[in-house]
Amino acid sequence: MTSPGGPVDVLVVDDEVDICWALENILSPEGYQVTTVTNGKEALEQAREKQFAVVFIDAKLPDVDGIALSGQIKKMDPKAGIVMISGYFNREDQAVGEGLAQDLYVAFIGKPFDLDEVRAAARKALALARGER
Amino acid sequence: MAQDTRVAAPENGQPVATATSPLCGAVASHAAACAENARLREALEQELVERQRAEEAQAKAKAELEAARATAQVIENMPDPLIVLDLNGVVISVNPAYTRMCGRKREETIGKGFAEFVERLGAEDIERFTKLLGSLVETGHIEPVETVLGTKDGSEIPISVAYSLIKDAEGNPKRIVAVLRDITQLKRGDEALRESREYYDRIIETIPSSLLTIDRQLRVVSANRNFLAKARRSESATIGRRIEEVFSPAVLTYSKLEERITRVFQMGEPFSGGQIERLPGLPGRVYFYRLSPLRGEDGAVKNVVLLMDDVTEQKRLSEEVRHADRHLASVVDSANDLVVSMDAEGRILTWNRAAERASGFRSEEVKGLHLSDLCVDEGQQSAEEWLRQFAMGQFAARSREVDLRTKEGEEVPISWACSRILDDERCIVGLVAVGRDLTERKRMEAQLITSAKLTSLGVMAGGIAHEIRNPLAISSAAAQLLLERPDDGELRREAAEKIWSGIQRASYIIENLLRFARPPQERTIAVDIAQVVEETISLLANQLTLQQVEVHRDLAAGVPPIIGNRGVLQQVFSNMILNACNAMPDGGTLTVTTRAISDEEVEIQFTDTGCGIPDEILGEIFDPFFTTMPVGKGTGLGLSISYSIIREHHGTIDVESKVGEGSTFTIRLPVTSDRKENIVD
Repeated sequence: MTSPGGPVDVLVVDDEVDICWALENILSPEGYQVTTVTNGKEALEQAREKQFAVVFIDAKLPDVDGIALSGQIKKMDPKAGIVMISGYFNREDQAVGEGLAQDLYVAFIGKPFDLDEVRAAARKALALARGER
Repeated sequence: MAQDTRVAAPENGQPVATATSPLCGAVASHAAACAENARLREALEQELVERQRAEEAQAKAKAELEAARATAQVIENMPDPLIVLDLNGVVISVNPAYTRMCGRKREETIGKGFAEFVERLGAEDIERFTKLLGSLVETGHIEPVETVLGTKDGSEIPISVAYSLIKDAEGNPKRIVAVLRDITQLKRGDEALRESREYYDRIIETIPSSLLTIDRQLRVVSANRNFLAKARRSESATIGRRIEEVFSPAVLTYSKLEERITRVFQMGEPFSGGQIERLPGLPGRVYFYRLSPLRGEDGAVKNVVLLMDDVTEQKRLSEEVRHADRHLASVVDSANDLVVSMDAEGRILTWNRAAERASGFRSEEVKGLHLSDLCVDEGQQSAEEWLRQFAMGQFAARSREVDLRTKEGEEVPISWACSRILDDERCIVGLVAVGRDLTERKRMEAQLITSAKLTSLGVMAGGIAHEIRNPLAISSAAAQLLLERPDDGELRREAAEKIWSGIQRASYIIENLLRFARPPQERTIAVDIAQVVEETISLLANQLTLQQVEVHRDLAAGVPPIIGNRGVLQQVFSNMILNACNAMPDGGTLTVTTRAISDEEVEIQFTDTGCGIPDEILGEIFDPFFTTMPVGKGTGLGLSISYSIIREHHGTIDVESKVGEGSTFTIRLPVTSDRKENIVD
C-alpha cells in the first residue's frame, strides 16, 4: 500500500469547514500536507499554484458542481488523484458510478465515513498520482 | 152668450102663442081691437127682442173686441216670434219678438213674401215654400219645418216654423199663422251629437280589437273594420248575417259563442274570458273575447257587444315566459350551490334544493326569515350588516364566508356571493345570495395541502439528507479521532465541540422538518413573520446551496405579528423559495424582505434573479395544476395552495415578473384580522 513517504500535498475542497477540519486531522498524522478551501474558485486557484497529488472534493459546492470541478482539475493535472466525497449522493447513485467510470475520481466517500475509509482513499489516489496503479 | 140668447127667445114667445088662442072670438071689434093690440104688442115685443138682440150683439162685439185685444196683447208680448201671412205667404203682421229676431222693423216685413226671409231664394226654395203653403191650405195641417231665418245683418238663424191655418166662420181658409222657434241651441246639440258619434265611430274603427254587435236573433248588427280585416270578410257578407254564417262551426263549438251570447241576453250580465282559437281564414291565431250587454233606452238588453282581442303574441310570450320560468326554476333547483333570493328588506323569498340539503331547513320553513337568522351566532351580525349594505346599494364586498347553522345544529362553512336584483328603473328590488358549501372544498384543500407538502418533502429530501449527513459526518469523524488519539488534549476539546455542534445542527434540522411535516394546526395564533421566514430559509438552506442560490435577508425589526396559522404560512414561504430556486437553475440571488407597510399590513417579498414568467402565463400561475415543470417533477399546486392560504388569512398575493430578469412575489397580510376576536379566547 502506498504511503506518502515524503511530504505529499493534499487539497480538501468542502464548504463545511468542520469537514475540512476532520479531513485535515485524519490526513496530517499520515504525513500529508493538507490545504483546505471552501469553494470551487479557491480550489482552482490553489491547483494553478501548486500540484496536488491528492484532491478531496465535495460533490455539491456553493459555486460549482464537484464532479465538474474534478474534471477541470484533471485537465490541469491529469495525474492528480481525486476523491469524491458527498453527503448528497449515495454510493449506488448513477452519477457516482459514471464519474468513476470516466476516471474523474478514483474513489467515492459517502458522509458520514470511517477514518480508515478516508485513509484508504487517500492512498489509492496517491498511488494513481504516482502511476502505481 | 149668443147661444143663451137664442135659447131664451122661444121661452119669451110662449105667452104670445097662448094669447092667440080661439077662446074669445064673440066681439069682432073687440076682436079687431084685440088684434090691433096684439099686433102692437107683437111689434113691441119684436122691438124688445130686436133691442135685446142689438144689445147682445153689441156686448158680443165688445167681448169679441176685448178678446181680440187680449189675443193681440198676448201675441205682442209672447217670446216666440209670430207672423201672420195671407194664403200666398205675404206677411200681414208680425209681433215684436219677430222683429227682434230678424232685426227688421215691422214695416220692413209687412207686405213682403215670408219666403224672402226664411228661404235662400233659389227658384227651388220658393217653389218648395209655395208647395208647403199649398199643402197647409189643403190639409189644414203640416208638421213644423226646419229652416233658417235670414236676419238684416246677414246672419242666419236656424229656426223651426210651426204653421197653422186660420179659417173664417164659414170654415174657409183665411190666414196662416207661423210661429218661429230659434233652434240654434238644439242645432248645436245636434252637431255635438253628430261629432261625438263620429268620434266614437272613429274610435271603434281604430281600436285594435275586433268589435261586433249582435242582436237577439244572433245576427250581426255592426262590425268594425278590425273585425272585417281579421276575418277577411266584406261588410255585406257580415252585417245582417247570423253568427254561424260569420264564424266557422269549429270556432262556434269551441268558443261556445252562441250559448254565451244568449245567456248575456237573458241575464244582462257581461261575460269575459272566452277564447277563440281560430277565425276563418286565419288559422293559428288566438283571441280572447268579452261580451257586454248593450241596453236600449228602456233598459232592456238590445244587443250584445262582442269584443275580441288578438292575444296570439301575448299567449306565445307568456308561454315563453312560463317556459323560461320553469327552465330557470329547474336550473336553480338542480344547482349544487345554495341559491337564496330575498326581497329588498332581506327576507327570504326562495330557497333552492341545495340550500335545503345543506341547511336541513325546508323552503317553507325559512320563507320570510332573514338569511342571517340561519347563520351561526358569531356570523349573524356581520352577515346582517353585509346584506344590509347590499340592500341599501352601498359598496360591499361581493363575497363573504359565513357558516350556516343547520337544523341539526351543525356548522356548515359557506362562501356567499351576493348580488342585487334591479328593476327597469335600476331600483333595488331584491337580493340573490349564492352560497357554496365549502365542506368538501375545505377537505379537498386539506388534501391538496398534504399532497403538495409531500411533494415539497420529496424535493427537500435530497437537501435534508445532505444537511443531516454533514453534521453526522463531522460528529462521526470527530468521535473516531477522539478514540484514536485520546491523549491529544487539543484535539479532544475540538472534537467534543464539533460533536456537540454537529448534533445540535442535526436536531435543529429534524425539528424544523417535523414542524413542516406536522398537520397544520387549526388554531390561529400570533405569528412573527420574520421568524417563520428565517426558519423556512434554514429548512431549505441546503437546497438553496445545492442550487447555488444566494439568499439575502432583509427582515425589518419591529414588524408586528400577524394572526395566522404558522404551519401553513411556512408552507407558503417554502413554496415561494422553492419556486425561486426552480426559476434559477444556474443559481442566482433570492432576496427575502419582510416589513410593515402600515399599522395594519405586513409585506413579505421574494425576489429572484431567475428566468422570469412570460406575460401570457402570468395570469395562470395561481391556477391549480399549472406547472412549467416536467411531468412528475411538480404538481402545479404550490402557488394555488399558497394563494388560498393567503386568502384565508385575508391577505393578498401578487406577482411581478420580467422574462430574463426575475420575478417578485409580494404577499401582504393584515396585522389585525377578522378572526382576531376568536383567537383571543
